[in-house]
Amino acid sequence: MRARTDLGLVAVLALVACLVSAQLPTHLALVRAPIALPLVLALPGYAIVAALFRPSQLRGVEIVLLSIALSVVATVFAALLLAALGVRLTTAAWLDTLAAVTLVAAVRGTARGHARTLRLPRVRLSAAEVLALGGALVLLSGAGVLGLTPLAAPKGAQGTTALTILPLGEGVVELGVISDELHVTSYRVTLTVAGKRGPRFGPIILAPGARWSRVVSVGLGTPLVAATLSQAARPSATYASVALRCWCTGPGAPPA
Amino acid sequence: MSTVAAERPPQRAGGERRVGALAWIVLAAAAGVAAASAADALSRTGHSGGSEVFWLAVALIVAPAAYRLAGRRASSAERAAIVVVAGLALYAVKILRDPFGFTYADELVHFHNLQAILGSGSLFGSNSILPITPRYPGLEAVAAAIARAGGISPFAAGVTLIAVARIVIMLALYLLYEAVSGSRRAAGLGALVYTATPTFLFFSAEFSYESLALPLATVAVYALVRWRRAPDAGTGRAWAAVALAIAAAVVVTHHVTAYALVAFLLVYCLLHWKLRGRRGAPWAIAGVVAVLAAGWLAFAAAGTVGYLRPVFTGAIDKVIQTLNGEAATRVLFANQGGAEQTPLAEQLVAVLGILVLGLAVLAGLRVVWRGRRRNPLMLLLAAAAVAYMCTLPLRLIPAAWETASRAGEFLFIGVGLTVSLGIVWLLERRAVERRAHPVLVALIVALVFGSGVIAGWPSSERLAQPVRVDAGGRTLSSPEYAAATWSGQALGPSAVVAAEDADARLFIDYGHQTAFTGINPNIDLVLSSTQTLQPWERQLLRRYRITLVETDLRDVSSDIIAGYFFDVGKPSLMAAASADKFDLRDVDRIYDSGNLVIYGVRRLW
Repeated sequence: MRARTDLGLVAVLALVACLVSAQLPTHLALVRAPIALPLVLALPGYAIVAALFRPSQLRGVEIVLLSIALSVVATVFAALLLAALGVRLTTAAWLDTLAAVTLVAAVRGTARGHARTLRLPRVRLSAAEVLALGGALVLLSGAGVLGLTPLAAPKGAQGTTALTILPLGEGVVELGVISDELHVTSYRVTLTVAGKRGPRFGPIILAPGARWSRVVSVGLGTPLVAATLSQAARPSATYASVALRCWCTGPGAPPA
Repeated sequence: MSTVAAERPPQRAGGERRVGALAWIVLAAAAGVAAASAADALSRTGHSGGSEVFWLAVALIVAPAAYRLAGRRASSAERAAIVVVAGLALYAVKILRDPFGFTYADELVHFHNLQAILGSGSLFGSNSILPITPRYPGLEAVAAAIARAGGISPFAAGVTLIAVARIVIMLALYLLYEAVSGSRRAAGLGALVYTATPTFLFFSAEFSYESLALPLATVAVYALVRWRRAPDAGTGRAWAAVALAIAAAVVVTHHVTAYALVAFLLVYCLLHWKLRGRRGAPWAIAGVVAVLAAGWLAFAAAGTVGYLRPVFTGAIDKVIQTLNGEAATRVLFANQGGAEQTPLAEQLVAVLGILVLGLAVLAGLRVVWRGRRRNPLMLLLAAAAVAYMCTLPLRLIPAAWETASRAGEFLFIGVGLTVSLGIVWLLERRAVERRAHPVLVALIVALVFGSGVIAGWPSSERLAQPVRVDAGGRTLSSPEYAAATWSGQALGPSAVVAAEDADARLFIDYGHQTAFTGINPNIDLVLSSTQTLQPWERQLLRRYRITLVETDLRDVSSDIIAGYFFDVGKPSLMAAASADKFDLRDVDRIYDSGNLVIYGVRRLW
């Protein structure tokens, strides 16, 4: 299998994809994905097509279609095979299997004389066509950037604030406020323990997306711990209320 | 009718390949994508004008492509490239609507399966909302492989896979239509007309098993056509192997597509037998695919029958009831709640588009009947086109609407070819000035496409909604996302949640918890009943080991299309008593964000 044939190149690319997936961390996905993804989406199918058909039997469009479709099929069957063998679907297991499929098919294709000499496609573009494609790239980039940018909420959008309470263990609770209001908001939290007014917290001033939490000791055997949340601007109006009545949820809670 | 030989464009000059008008088609499509992004930005910031820009966007994608494909000058490769560009650009319209994450009901279900495979390293996990989906792991297996190989997020992997599926179906349709019709022009136009399937722009572009299975099934059918025409036994065996391998992948990817493929193959064999004799029909391939589908159903996905039966029996029952006048007809152009929201102008375009589509189908049927009625595949595709037109009245019946809509994705493969044959026949008539023809075709295709979009998705849900917003330099998520995320972080994956339809999907994906919703078990009734908590409700909580109940008073929380976004204005609320009934002595109230409350209910067991 000589490297200057298409199947030689496919074999080399498959091995490089395996190596890159194993060595490059996920935060380098922009480098890793373009090199590794062909091993899932193109290379196995291309090699299988070469093993099955003579180059003259297929048109370029057919080769593209079958390369992608058979790669997807090879990936599905690789997953089923690994699952049937009880092998965990890790990156290495998956890519090694796909690389093996690609190499076996490439060798088979080469043995059948289906390898083609590599030639760069010669596409002639006029200056206007190059400009058109450049313009398209700019437009697509702009569309992507605009689409992925979180924009201001529409007028009338409703922000929310959540009040939470969780048991942390015998006689200890954690109170929390999650402010998803669209502007800086000031809060007060009032705690009630066994029907008696407990500590008050506030003003708690939170920016949009900010959180507040406080661990409070309420005493062993407390039957009811409740808390209410109000906004400092409207202290008489309860915005949210929570209550631990039986302490049977959450980590560390006693069994029911 | 023109043939491949008659449509002979200049392909090479001096050994170099020219791209024809492809660069300009790409530029127009990119402008369309940019316009779609602008339309979404207008929509999610609450500005008007988004709808008009959206229609401009799809016109920029579809009309120039149709114009070029209607002409004679493009090469086969250029036509194939144009339909791929159009397919991908239309997919970009969907992605730009939801660029931050999946927000379609089925996507959220499959996204859970994908996360489960990535987390556990094994297939066939569980899914509390649609338990049948992990039994067909083809889609999620490939997406997981993409995520693993590329080191990209599960969402990016899903988007990449469906983009690849889009390339596959556009190329497969082009090649299939070209092989069946012998006309490049009909092939390109047919593939483009297929994008007018009402579900193509949004529903079929979601990360769901059918979105991968249908493209693969189309490749299998194309491989079958090539098998029939193979010049020698060896090539025939190779094409048969390709068809079988791809069909097997369809079987493990999506139930209905697999059964549709089996039905297609069997009917094709019978038609072939009737028209051309028993020899030469793909009996063996059809038989093997049928056995594979039956085997998978029996040994790996036995719950499929129980899952699909209510859909079909419900549709049949409702059709009978509606015909007898015992049930009301469905409001056309309505959202999921049954409210009519589509502007009158759009309704007119939709009806006009269907009329034009019907006329084009009739023209195509004329072509088939006059010269191709001995071709079993052509006849089968023409019959599918007629069947599609026959399913249109079913859209008036509530329970049959979904079945008709889903069937349309398969039957429209026949519509694409039949309509394109009709269009090409019209193009070759001398009655109208030739130069006007491609413009007319572009207008017709754009009209039919627009009609499909209007019929296929509620107008209020076409553009992006605020799911993540910027506030003071921080990015906020909508309240249901916040609740699900908090629940997962604070209470862990062992919690079992009962929630409204939309919210439950977020609990399985962003809380990584088990969530029940809908009518099996009947969480809908538990959450909507305003009576005090009944013994059967306690039994249900115990039986399914439900530890958390999330009540969401907003009506939109039960809307699986619209229930994932920030409320704009005061939301419509359901009766407070349905939530208040959980304020009991044995229940913890652990999360409250106003309309949305999470209760710890384990003591109620």
